[in-house]
Amino acid sequence: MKMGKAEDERLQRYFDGELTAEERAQVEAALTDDDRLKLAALGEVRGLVANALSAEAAAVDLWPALEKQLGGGGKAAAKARRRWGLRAHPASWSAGLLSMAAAAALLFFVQPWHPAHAQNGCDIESLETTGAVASVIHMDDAPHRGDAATTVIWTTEDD
Amino acid sequence: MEPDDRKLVDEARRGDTNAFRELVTRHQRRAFAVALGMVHDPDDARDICQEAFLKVHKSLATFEGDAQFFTWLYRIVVNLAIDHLRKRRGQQVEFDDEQANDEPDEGGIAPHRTGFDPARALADKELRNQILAALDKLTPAHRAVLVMREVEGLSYQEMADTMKCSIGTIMSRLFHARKKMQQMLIAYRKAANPAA
Repeated sequence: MKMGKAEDERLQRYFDGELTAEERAQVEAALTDDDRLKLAALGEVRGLVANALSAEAAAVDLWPALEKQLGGGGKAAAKARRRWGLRAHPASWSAGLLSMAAAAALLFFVQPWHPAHAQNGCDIESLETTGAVASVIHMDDAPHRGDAATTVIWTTEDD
Repeated sequence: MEPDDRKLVDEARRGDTNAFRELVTRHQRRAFAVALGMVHDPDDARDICQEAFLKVHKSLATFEGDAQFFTWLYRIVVNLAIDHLRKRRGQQVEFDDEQANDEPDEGGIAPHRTGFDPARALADKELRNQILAALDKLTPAHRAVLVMREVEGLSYQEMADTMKCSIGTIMSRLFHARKKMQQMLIAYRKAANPAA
């Protein structure tokens, strides 16, 4: 009798151990010579595929590379390096750090220097000038480091 | 007696590198075999396995104690391999039955042996190349189930969970994959030895 796909799939489930005990007994009771040949063929394919892949995998040793990645921050660190455009090579890192230090030093020296404003502790209530005009401005925010508020006084000569 | 995987996982969770190394040593060859069976390229398979073990290491704290370590690991390997195939071949690689059943169904498993002794695949590089080439001719969906089943012995349910499909779909894919492998190996046998 010619077997259909449904019967073959049942045979496959038998081969894979996916049947219940009752179903297994039913299949075994009805096995034909062709079924036995098919089971042998399935076993052969399984053996060939499993052995071929196992043999190819026999010499694999992933640990040395994994150990490096686990010890050195792994992929996350490599990803971060790529994201920031930095290379993993130590010489490149050194050059990059030197460049950053030089840039920081340059910024330090060229930026406007704001020393803490000198405090005299005096409150100005009035200002009298002769031959000049005085202007007084109180500022709550402090343009100079360390000051809570600033009073600016400047004078200009009369014309 | 060797400690079981669960004990090693517990030790690795506590930062024991030697325990994690033992897990890698224990499972790396089978993980590589699965990856190689799916992506065909040894370098790609190696990258996939390394990434899988790194993911495992990162997620040790979340590993559920009642799960099997190897099932967890191989699921990650298979998913990474599937992602890899999708990237390599663009978005054309779909794991649905339309592509999986892209050839007409002409009967079931043939009641014929290929004539190759499976033990020969261990020593015969040429035969191994033919088997790998035959695997590569399967669709990714067929290849995935065949490798998961024949190398790892994953159950239909485990494969269905991994591939996010029904058990019926798994059975169908496995059936077609085996049939095609059988046909290709018989054809190779006849070409290599016409008198056989």
